[in-house]
Amino acid sequence: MNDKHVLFIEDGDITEQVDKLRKLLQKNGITLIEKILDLSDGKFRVNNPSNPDETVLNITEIKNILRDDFINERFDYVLCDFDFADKNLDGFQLIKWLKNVSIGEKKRLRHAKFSLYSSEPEKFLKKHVSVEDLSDLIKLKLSDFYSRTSIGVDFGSYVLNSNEEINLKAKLITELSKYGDMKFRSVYPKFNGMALGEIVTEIENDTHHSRFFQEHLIELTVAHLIDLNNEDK
Amino acid sequence: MSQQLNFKTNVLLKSIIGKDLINDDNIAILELVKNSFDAGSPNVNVIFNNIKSNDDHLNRTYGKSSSKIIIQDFGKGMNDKDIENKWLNIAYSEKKNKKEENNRILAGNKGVGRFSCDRLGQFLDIYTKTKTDKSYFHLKINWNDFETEKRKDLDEKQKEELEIQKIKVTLFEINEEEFEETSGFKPFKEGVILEISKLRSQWATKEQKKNQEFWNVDKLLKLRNYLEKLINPNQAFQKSAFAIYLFAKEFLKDNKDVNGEIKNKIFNKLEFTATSIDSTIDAKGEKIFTSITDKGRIIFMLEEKNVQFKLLKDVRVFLYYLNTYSKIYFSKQTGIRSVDFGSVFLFINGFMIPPYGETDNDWLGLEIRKGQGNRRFISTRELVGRIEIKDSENNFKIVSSREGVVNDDPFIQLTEAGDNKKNKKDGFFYYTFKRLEKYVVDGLKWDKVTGDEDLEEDESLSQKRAQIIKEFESKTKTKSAKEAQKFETYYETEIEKKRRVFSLIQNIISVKKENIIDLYINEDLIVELVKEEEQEASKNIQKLLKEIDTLEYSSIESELEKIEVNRKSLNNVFKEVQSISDNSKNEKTLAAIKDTKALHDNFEKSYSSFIQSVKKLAIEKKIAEEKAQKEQEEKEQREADLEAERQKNTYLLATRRTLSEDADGLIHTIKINNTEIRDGIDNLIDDVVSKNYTEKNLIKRLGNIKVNAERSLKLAEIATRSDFKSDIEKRDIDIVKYFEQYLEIYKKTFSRTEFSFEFETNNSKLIKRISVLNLSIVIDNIISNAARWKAKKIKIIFKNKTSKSLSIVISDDGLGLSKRMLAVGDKIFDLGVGDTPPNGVGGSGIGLYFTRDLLKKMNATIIFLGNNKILSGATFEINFNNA
Repeated sequence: MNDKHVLFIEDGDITEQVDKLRKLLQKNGITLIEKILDLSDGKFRVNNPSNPDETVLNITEIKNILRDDFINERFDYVLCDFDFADKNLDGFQLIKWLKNVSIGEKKRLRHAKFSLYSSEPEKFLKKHVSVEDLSDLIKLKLSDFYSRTSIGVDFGSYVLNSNEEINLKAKLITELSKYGDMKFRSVYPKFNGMALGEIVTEIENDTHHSRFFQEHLIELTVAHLIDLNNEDK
Repeated sequence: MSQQLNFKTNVLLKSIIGKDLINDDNIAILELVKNSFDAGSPNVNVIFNNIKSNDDHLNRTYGKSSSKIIIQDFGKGMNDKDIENKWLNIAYSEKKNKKEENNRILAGNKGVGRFSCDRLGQFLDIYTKTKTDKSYFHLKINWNDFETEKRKDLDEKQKEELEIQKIKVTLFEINEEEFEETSGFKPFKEGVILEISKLRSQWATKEQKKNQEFWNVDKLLKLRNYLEKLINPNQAFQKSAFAIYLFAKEFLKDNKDVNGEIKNKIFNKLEFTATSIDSTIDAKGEKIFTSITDKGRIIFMLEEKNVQFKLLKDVRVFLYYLNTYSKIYFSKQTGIRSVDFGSVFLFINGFMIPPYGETDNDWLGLEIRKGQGNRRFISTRELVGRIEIKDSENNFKIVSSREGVVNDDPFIQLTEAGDNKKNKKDGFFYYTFKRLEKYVVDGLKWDKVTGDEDLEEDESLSQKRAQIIKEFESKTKTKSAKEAQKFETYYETEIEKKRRVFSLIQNIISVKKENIIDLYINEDLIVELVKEEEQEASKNIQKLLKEIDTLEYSSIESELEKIEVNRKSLNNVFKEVQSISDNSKNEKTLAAIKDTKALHDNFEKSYSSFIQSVKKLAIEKKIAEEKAQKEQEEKEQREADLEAERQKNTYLLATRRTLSEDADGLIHTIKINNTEIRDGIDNLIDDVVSKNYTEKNLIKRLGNIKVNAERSLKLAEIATRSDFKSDIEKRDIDIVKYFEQYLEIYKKTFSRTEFSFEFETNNSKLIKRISVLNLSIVIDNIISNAARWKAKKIKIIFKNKTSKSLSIVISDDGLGLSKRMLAVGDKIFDLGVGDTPPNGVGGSGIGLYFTRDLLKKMNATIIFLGNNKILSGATFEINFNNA
């Protein structure tokens, strides 16, 4: 089964669109496993200190939840709404922070592909027009900026297309994770006795040994292929 | 029967013509100084001794320790015969016959000056010597001997009969040694020493300030001040110098200004150039010479016949007008403010006649006149000057009390009117003064610093003027008056003033042609003025020629008008110049006028040809402009027609139109909402096609779609009542207020059902961020349910259970929940659960399931409380929570 883990960060209702996406992927043999961080939840709102009749996003709480519940999880994609109708935080700023923290602290979420969506993409241009913003945007390496009205179709297509690309590392992680508790007794001495799940962590953290291990695995695989080839003869 | 009698000279006559007549100490000293002057002395020493401490109270007579004034001169002196026949001869004055002696016009001539001594002190010792005599003469006088009221040795009859000549005074002839021993003075060749002892006035007083003792020497300083002014350096000392020294050595440490030579620094020479007039009637009284000088430059000089002032000869009037800056220079130079100095002084034969011109003395009536026309007349506060009379014929008689001059015809002709009855100010002083006044008031407009100067109180400056003055003073602190003049700023430019002055000169002079002997007007003034006018005109002409190509016709016209104004101004100046030439015979003036005439003729010639060509050019320009304008209009019309044609066939624009914020917001919400509807339908179709559905699931999906469709309808309904600038799905609202406002307009807008609403707010409030659309639909659903079950009235009770939660109890007076529904309890909120009301009508709304679902999204709950709880029908409770 081909699972795709997607984190949606949204402050409204995208139930039907997520469903639509699910159906689309399902038809192509991909199972959508989504988590939605709903920012319209009251716990993410606080009173505006300068105006008691107004509430604003509790940025600290949002970041805490992201750190505690999401940053160490494996997601293939992160999709974030751009407009939260809050002058202190928008989707671009949030995923910029999220990605920087993930990469800086070498968390699993750093492997995900990040995208933004909005019903009014031109709002992004109005707000983020400086050279600095442009530079941040490039560094962020966003996969795409979708129109909200066609997430199902556009993002679905993207997932399908990227599914056709081979990502050996991601594939290795996925396969090894299935046997996370199994102890490794193989010829790579450094990992001898480690659980496969632990080796997966090494790979995700891009350690020196994990790189050598991956190379070693490829060599072993090719060697095994050659053996098999010779056996056939 | 007749008998011969004679006047008796009672001894009290001494006081009448002495201390009772001379009622001012300063005047007394002045008289004695005058005597020294008349005696030909090069200087006089006025010495004060034993002022601080003396034995005046202890000593019945006097001695070396008595308070003293000593007046010492080195003039011709007196011998015994002089003393007996002249000095002791009351009212005798040889100066009555002699007008000049010792190369000086004699100052005193009354013969009563000697009694000044009585004014000053009780005892007098005169030491005197002539050049030719070897002996000194010493005269002792005790003034008390003359004051019979104090004399106990006489009875009343004796006092009555005692004549002045019966009082003996002692004269000693002494040699040099005896002189030195007796007097304590150094020997001299010739002169007089008046030693006045036991002074009648306190010349200095001991005072206390802040627990410190000091000597107040104001009286001595006032004496200095007085003596400073009395001598007119311009007149009296042309032939031989005269210096006055004041010594009071006791006070050397107390005040450095008391001791030293007394100089007339005031009129010596004003070191700055102010506006002034100088007018003199010659010695024969036939001609008057007048000149006005302004800031160092002579404006005009006039020689005219003396027609009006036949009684006056050898009289000079010299007046300064002090503008704002002149006053500053004056204070700097003299150390006193001009207003404290005085105004117009009178000098006769070199000596000042008090009290004329002193502070608060308005002998010429200037202040009264000023009161009649504040903005037209100059007052004593802006005027400083002197009237000098060389009176060899004794036409001006000084009053015996030494306070003024007899008010007879010559004095009146000098100061006031020829005709007393008319009381018109046209004496010689006013004749001169009014010319200066006209120059200053009409010509210079008071030489004002700011445009809004209040002349009524020119000592208290307006803020603006004060600022200008402050800046001026700080810039020129260390500079001389000459250097400082560069920093003066005025309200008007020099050319504006010059223009006016020039046009007023005839008016200022105001003399009949036949009385003018000669008139000189500063040729530079004429030439400069004309030049400046001509330059102004040329500048504007050049400017126009340079820019004519780029200017529009209307601008050319206005530039031409400007040049025309310049030309008229120039013509006016020439006219004035011409009229002056009729009166003037002065060569320089006439030459300057001739030059300017040539300039004017040239200018006129070139001006007319210039105007013609420019006008022609301007007209051509106008025609061209009109043509271009017409073409432009035609072009614009063609373009407009083309655009209209184009627009007919354009359905869609390539670029996005700019919408209002409201429209943008509305579109945003429509997009989001309808995307959910579309995708929901897509998913449903998908499920049905793939046969991947259950009945429940289908109902739920369809319910969702319906909710979103309701939201779209709600959006359309409230579109005209709400703004969409902020997202309608994410609004911070006060739930209580929203309920109230929504239900207020419910009847009009949303339903035909007749309903009444009753609210019990209990001062509740809860600000929450919610979807306004969703809340509106929830409210709609509850009300429509109540309506289906025959309710006519709904009561809503709000209550804050905590500060972060709100309870809303909604009760209607309808039939309430049916028995069947009551039996299922909370399942009334399940999908598909419902009942039909008795008449079968109704069915709007999204059902309680979706009501609960929408409320859940708003972090709110809904429960059924029961029937007949508040009103007779159903009662629900909604609880909103803020996390």
